[in-house]
Amino acid sequence: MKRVGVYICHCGTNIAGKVDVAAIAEQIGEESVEVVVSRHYKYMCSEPGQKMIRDDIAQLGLDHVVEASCSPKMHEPTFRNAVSMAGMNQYMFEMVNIREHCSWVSENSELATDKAKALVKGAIARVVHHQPLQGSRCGVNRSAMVVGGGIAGITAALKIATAGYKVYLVEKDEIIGGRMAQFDKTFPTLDCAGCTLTPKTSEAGRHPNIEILTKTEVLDVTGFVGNFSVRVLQKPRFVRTDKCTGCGDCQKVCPVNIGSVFEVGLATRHPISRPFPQAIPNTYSIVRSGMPPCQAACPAGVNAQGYMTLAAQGKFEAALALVRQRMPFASICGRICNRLCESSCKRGQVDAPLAICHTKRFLGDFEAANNPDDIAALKPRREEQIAVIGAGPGGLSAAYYLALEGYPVTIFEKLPISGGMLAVGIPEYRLPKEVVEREIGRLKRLGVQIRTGVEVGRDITLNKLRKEGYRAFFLGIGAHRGFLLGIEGEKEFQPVLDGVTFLRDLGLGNRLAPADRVVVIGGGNVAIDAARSALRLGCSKVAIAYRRTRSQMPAHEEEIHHAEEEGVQIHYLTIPKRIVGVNGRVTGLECLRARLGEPDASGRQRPVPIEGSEFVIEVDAVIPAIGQEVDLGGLCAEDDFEITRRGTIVVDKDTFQTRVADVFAGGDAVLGPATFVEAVAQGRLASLSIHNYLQHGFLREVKAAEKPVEKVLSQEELARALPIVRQRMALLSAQTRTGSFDEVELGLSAEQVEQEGKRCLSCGLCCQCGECAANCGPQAIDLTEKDRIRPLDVGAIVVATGIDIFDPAKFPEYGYGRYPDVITNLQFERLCNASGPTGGQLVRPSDGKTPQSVVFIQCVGSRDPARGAPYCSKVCCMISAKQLSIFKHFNHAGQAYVFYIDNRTGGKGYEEFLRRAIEEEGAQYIRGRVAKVFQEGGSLKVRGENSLAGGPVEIEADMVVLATGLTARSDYLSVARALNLSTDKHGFFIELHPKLGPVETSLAGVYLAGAAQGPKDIPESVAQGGAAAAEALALFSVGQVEVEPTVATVIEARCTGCRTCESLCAYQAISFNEEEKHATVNQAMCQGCGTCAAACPVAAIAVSHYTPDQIFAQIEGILG
Amino acid sequence: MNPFEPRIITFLCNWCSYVAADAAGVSRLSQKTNTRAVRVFCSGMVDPNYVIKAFAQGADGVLVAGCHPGDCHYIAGNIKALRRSFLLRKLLEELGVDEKRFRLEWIAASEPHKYAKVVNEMSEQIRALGPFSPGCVRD
Repeated sequence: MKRVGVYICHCGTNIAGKVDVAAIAEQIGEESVEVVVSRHYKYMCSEPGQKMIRDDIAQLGLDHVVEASCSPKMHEPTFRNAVSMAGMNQYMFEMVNIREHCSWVSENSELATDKAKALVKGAIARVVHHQPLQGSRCGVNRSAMVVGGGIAGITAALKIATAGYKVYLVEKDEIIGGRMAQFDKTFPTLDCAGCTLTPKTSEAGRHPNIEILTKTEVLDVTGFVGNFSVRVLQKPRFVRTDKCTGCGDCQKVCPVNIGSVFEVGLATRHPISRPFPQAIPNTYSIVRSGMPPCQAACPAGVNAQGYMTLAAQGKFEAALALVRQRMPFASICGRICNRLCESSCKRGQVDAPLAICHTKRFLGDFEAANNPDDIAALKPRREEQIAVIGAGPGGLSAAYYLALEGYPVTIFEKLPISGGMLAVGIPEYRLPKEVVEREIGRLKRLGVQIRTGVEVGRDITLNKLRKEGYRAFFLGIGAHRGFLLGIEGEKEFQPVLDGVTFLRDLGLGNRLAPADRVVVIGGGNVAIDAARSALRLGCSKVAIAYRRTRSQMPAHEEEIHHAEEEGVQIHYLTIPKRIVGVNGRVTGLECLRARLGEPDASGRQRPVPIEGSEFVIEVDAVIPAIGQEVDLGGLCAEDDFEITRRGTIVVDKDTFQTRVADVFAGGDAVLGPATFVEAVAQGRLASLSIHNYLQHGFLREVKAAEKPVEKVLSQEELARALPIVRQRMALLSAQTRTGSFDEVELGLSAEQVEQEGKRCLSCGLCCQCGECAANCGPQAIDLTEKDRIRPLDVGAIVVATGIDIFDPAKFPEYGYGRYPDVITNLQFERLCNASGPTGGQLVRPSDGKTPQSVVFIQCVGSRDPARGAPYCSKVCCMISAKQLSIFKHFNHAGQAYVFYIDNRTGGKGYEEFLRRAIEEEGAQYIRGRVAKVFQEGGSLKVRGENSLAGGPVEIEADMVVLATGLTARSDYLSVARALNLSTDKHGFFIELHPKLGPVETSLAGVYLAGAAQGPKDIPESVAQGGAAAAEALALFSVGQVEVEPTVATVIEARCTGCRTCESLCAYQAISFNEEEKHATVNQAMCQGCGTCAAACPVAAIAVSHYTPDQIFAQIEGILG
Repeated sequence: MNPFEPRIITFLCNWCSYVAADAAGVSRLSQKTNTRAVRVFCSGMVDPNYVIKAFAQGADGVLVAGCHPGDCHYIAGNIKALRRSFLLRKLLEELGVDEKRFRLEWIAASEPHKYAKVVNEMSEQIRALGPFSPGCVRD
């Protein structure tokens, strides 16, 4: 028979005031056969209480103990320790929570007593199933991670490091120092914040045991006290701290200006900068928010923000060089691109997107006009010959980048002219021949050979070329075979020719109109091109038949518009039925009207023919332009390429290698009919693979692309929008242009391009134009740096992530954001700071004048449950007293006013400081709320109430300072998730105990410091930083931690080997023993969550101390 | 005769809901006395058998409370509890347990008010349903 002792605590009156503890003790003793002794006592946690238990164990031979009192989170360790001292295994003890869960929250005494008794009975029933367990001991990794480089974090880091242990100081921003670095003076001594902080930051910066990781955030933490595995995300600084000398040459040439977060929006900064001269690390860094949407949308990844920014400065050559990093043919692309960049340009959310494409065209044309013989610098010549098949966009692009790399490249082109679809697909009024020839001419000047009129697969084979010494091939053969309609009369009557053939003949010089009246079938760019070309060939009537509506047309909107302007008649919702004719000649196209039905696979509504709606478009020729396909010719005769059902060549999606190792392919041949820019992109990427294939024998490694910036326009971006309208390009008039194939769009002027560039919102912040890198003497700048995930193994973690300030825009009556002279107290700090935006001159942001009258408004966001937070931010009263003193020292004749609710000056020397502000500085403290700040006659007026005098007051103010309260960091949730911390409803992290565990958390080994736990001033933050360090150091000093034995165990005989548990384990602690066919738990990795146990269909796995028999017994006991 | 006082077994996860229940106590948030807590490490540890056992022993209701999705101390144990709950509800229905007698809630450590609200709501709801008679549920 088990021998159980039961002890019920009164907790003074906390429990006994509600629960009849004596009755429970008595009844339990009578009802439960296992209970040997049942007592109640005033304070079980007191020494006499604990001694009572110890004595009973010794004298009565107890083998189990139940104790009912407060939450086990409070005193479980106390009582476990007590029973251990008496020689009992601590796991033979069970604690019942009858205070937090019962007496404190129940109204009815009788019911509370019933509940408490049931809980105690559950514990008695459970405890008899307890088994003695032995925890193991585990070593401690004696290094720490401190998250947050403010004064609290720096203090903790320095103390741990000075004690001789390694510290990783993880900081989200580019420098350490936190909020204190932004302050000017500190209360109550008016010490210079910088002068007291910078010795600490410098010490942290040079301490051999501290490694500072800037621009770094914690991704996740696993493991347990003493043995944490952390993953941090290090964002690139783009400037190497070991090379940068801090000279500042880089920022002189940076073309981008953005609002400074450090200066709280009072000044602008360049994306490359250093917040203040004594910053640690004392090197420059670059802020980049991600890949701008224009670049992210571009298939070729052209850095549009970069070249637009350079173009704004008139640096056209540098801008063009940037274009050519990804797009060799600026003049062509600038004329025909489908401009995904512009559709995603965030300026489009303001007014109209930047004219990115037209700017690119200008850059190419500008060089042609001013510096036509310029060629790119080539790398040293290499030996390996490369053949490119097809002189279209893909082939030309591959040839260009391979030539730059130093390879001798020969292009083989089937047609008598080069350019592919650029020459024989796109009509001249959109893309003049001389532009194509000029861009190809640049390629030839790089040494690229082009052999036209040679069809590979017929005139020469790949094997023959291999024998001639070609080492790699790029197939860019395009998709040049047009589809016909497959309708009645197509073969019977003439002329019916597909759009691709029609445009190719035209491109090759055949300028004869196919007939007098022409109908083109289709809605793509080829259809529009064919129709507009037909007009220019002298056709008297040109129509387009398209089966859907205008909004569904795949052709560019501008092209459709131009076609309409020129007189092309477009029949929408028109389905061709048959071609009619007489004597073998076309006389018309019979069509059916259609209506829109259900959406098809592409999501567009399917056109449904309307029966009996036949009508005839009278024409003399029909040009179907409904698609095209790849014409492989004889290419497959020797090489075994994989071909899709659509007839395109299959390649690896990252390397563009075909199934034949030395052959790569791209463009329409791979994509089917696609765009120019996609073909160029694939040509370039294939060239990288070809280079790797030839030089390293392996192909391009796939690198994660930079994360794009948010698509939604932000307030900061909107603030950067200069009031300039999108520049319009001059056009040939619709009347004159159909008479010839002259180019319709006439280009932008240099002035227009500069204006256009200035419209850029700099979404990516740094535009990666490369100006800084080119001007950096020590070559410290590397714009290709990428995000890096770094693992850190530490034994203790200190969380000191600090605070944000309330957003004063939530209080529109104070006029923040509307009146420049209404500022926050943090902005006031920057205004007086010698390294701030005014060089330490306390002047008004609006006109730079020294203010005579300054009004401080207290409790902006604090003590305001309706619009802010219910809590007091604790520091704002003292901040305002300090700031008005600073103001008075600047301007002795000035007058300060403070509207306050209560003055809270708890702290050493604080009340005395406030008295000085009132008595010596003569500040007028007005008790009452401010109703409104408004402008009248050129000055600000503050209207409020004086609740002591009773009545309204109105004060004229040169400057209004809002004493904004403190809030949790806006990203507190992601920090909490990464570190498994609990937060209160305001987002502050929860400490283990509000009185006795202020720096510990419910997670052993994770400690809190500073205002991340709640509003705090500097001395408190420093004290907490020290306390958190002491906790970590105590852990390191002991060097070992007890690992709870509450982990999962497998009852091997019962395990059926179904492996259900294996995949459920979040810690990969369960593996399968293949030989013996049962699951095995790695107890060092098991965290004891019990998910496996709950899922095991045969109850073959259980967590010690939480076994099914124990839980079942507890349920029975409670309900018994 | 005394009015009907339901008995509700609550399985509270050690890291969120148990802490919330403690915090509700510290804040003296008044609660009905009908709940009886069983502390578990994780809501994912709650074997559906425990819930069935509780009903079989005459519980009038069962509450399983864990951390919010994404906040689980053990990464995703709560999600596993959620996954299990769908089948468990069907099973309970088959066993003749009204679905309102079983509840799965996410209660964070910072949500003592939510905890008290759930306790009071559920107590009243089950009081209205009346006592549960195990019927075919026998272990």
